[in-house]
Amino acid sequence: MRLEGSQLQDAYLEDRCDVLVLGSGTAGAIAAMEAARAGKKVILLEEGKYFAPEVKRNFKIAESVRSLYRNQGGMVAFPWGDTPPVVITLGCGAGGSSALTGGVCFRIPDKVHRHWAKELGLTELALDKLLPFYHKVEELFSIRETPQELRSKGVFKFEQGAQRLGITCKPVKRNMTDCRGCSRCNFICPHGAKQSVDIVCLPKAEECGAKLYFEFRATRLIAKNGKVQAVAGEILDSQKKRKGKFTIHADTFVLAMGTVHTAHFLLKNRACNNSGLVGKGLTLHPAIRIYGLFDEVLNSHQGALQSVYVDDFMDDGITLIAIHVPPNIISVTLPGIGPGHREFVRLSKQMAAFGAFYHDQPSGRVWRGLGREPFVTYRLSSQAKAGLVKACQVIGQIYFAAGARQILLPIWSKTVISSPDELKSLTPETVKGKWFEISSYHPLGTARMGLDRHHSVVNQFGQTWDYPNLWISDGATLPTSIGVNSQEPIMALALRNTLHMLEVGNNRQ
Amino acid sequence: MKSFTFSQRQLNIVIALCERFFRSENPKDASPSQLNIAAKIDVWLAELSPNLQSLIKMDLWAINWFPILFVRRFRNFLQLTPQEQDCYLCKLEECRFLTLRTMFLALKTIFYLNFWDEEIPLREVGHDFASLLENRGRV
Ligand SMILES: Cc1cc2nc3c(=O)[nH]c(=O)nc-3n(C[C@H](O)[C@H](O)[C@H](O)COP(=O)(O)OP(=O)(O)OC[C@H]3O[C@@H](n4cnc5c(N)ncnc54)[C@H](O)[C@@H]3O)c2cc1C
Ligand code: SF4
Repeated sequence: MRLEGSQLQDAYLEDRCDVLVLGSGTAGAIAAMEAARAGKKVILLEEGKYFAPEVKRNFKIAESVRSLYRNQGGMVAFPWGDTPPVVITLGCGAGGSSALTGGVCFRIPDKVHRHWAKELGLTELALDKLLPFYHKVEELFSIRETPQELRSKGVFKFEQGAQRLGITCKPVKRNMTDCRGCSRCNFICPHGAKQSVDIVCLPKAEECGAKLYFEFRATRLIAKNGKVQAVAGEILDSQKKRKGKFTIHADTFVLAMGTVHTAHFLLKNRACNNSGLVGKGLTLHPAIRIYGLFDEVLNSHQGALQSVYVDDFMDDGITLIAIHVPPNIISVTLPGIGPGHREFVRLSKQMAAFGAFYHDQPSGRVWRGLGREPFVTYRLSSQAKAGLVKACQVIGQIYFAAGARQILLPIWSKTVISSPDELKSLTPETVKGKWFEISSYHPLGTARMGLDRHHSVVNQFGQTWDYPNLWISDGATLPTSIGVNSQEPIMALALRNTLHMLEVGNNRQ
Repeated sequence: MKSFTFSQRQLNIVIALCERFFRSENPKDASPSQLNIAAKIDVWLAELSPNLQSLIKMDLWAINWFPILFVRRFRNFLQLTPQEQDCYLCKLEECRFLTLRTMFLALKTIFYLNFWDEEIPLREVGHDFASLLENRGRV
C-alpha cells in the first residue's frame, strides 16, 4: 500500500505498526524490506515524492534535478577557514540517494576494516564479520564488474595516458543488469538497468505488506519511560509545504534519513546525545572533476557513467574514478558566459572527464539550524587540500600523456591549463583551499558506532544507547570515512543491523 | 509574460540575464527569447520550496545592484549597456569574493541547466540530440 501526502484529503493521520522506518534511501529501503519479509507490520516514511519508475525514467535532466535532488542539488556545507562552500548532493524521493548513484560499488578497504576492528575495538565491523553481508547484497543488487565495452572513448584516452605513466586502471563494480552505457545514472537510469533500492527493495517491501508513505516529513520523536513511543511530523503538499500532521506509533523505530538528516532529527529532538557527538565527526569525501580536452571527437557520454578507477594513490588518501555525464549537464559546469561558454560546450564532445575524492578526517558538523533544513559546516584540512592538488596533478599529467591539448581544473583562476609545466606550478602553497569547486556525495559519520555511550551514539549494530527500541541504520553510523564510495558498505551494514534488530526483538518476545 | 515565481522587476532581470548568458555570435542561432528560456526557468523555479525561491530572489537582487562595486557605475544591472552587462557578469564569475562568486555560480547553474536541456541549443553546438533524447548509449 502506498500513500502520497499531496493526494491525501485528511489533515491528520494516526497509525500503528511493528517497525517504523524513517527514510526510503539505501538503508531505509533495505530495513523495510527485511522487516516486512520477516512478517512485521512495517510503515516506511519518506519526505520526498513518489514517481513510478516508468515516469521518472522519462524525466529530462533538469526535471530529475528539480524532483529528486534535495534542495534541487543546492544543499551547501558552509566553509570554515580556507575552504570553499561544498555542495552536498542528496536524494529526496523514493530510493533516496540510491536512485541517483553512478552505481559504483566498493567494499570497505581492508585497511579501514582493520583500523575499526583493531584500533577502535569495533570487532563486529571486522571484514570476516561483514563478509556474508557483502555477499548477500552483491547478489541482491546484481553487483558486478563493468564490462570493457561500456568504457567510453574518454576512458580509453585516460587509460592510454595512465599506462604511459605506469598507473593502473581497474574496472569498477556496479549494481547493474544490462547497462547500455548512456551515462545518465545520476538522473535516473532510463533503461531500468541500475538496481537501486527503489527498484529492488521498495516493491518487495510493498509485496510483503509494508505501507509506504511519501511526502511525510518526520519531525518529532515521542519518548516515554526510556522507550520511543511514536514519531510525529508533517504531511506535505506538492510544494513541500505543511498541509497536515501525522503521528505513528510503533514498537521499533529505524532512523535512515541519511547522514545529515538523521543527525539533524536527533539534534532537533535533543535525543541520543549523551556523548555530545551527534552531528559532529562529519566527513564528506570532498570531490572534484577534471576535464581533458583532445583534438578528436570522443563523445565520452557514450559509455557507462563510471567504469574504471585508480587506487595507486590511496595511501595519500586519494581515489580517482572515471565520471562523465551527458553534455546537457557537463555544460553547466563549464566556464564563461555567452559565446565563450557556447564554445566550451561545443568542445565538450572532445572532452574526457575523471573525478577524484579525498579520504578525509572528520572536520564537518551538522547543526540544528533555524529553519527546517540543517546547517552544515565543513573545514577543508591542509592534508585534504594537498590531496586535491595532487589529484589535479595526477589526472592532468595522465591527460597530457594521452595527448590532451588542455585540461580544465575546478580551481578558481586556474581553470584552463595548457601545458604540463603550467600544471607543475600548482602546489599546495600556490593554491588556496577556497579556490576549489568541491562537491560531496558520501557524507558519513554524524552518529557514529562505538563501544560505549560516552564515545558514540549507537552500538556496533546501530542500536542507540539511549533507547533500546531506536536504531540508526544509515551512513551516519560509520565510525570514520572509508575512502571509497559508500553505498555498498551502507547496504551491507543496513542488512546486518536489520537482521540483528529482528533477532533481538524475537528474543525479547 | 506572466510569472509564477517573480515580480515584474525580477522577471526583467531574469530576461536580461538570459540574453547575456545564452548569447551567440552566430546570427542563425535561436535567441533566448525565441526559445522562451526565461519562462522555462520561471516554471522550473515555481515548484521549489518558498525558502529556496527567496534565496534565488535575493541572488537576483544582489546581481542587480552590485554593478556599483564592479563596473563603478551608479546604475543597476538593467541600466547597463549589453557590453557593460557582459563585462560585469564575467567579473562576477572571476570575482575574488567567495560569497559573491558562489551566488553567481548558483544562479548560472540554474539558468544553464534549463538552457542545455533544450534541443535547439544542443543541436546548434553540434551535439546529436536524438541520441541524447533516446539515451542511446555505447551498446
Ligand atoms: C548523485 C549521487 C551519486 C552517488 N553515487 C554513488 C556511487 O556511484 N556509489 C556509491 O557507493 N555511492 C554513491 N552515492 C552515495 C550513496 O548514494 C549514499 O552513500 C547512500 O545512498 C546513503 O544512504 P542513506 O540510507 O544513508 O541515505 P539516503 O539514501 O540519502 O536516504 C535518506 C532518505 O531519507 C529521507 N529523509 C530525510 N529526512 C527525512 C525526514 N525528516 N522524514 C522522512 N524522510 C526523510 C530522504 O529524503 C532520503 O530519501 C551517490 C550519492 C549521490 C547523491
Ligand atoms: S549507464 Fe545508462 S543504462 Fe547504464 S545504468 Fe547508467 S543510466 Fe542506466
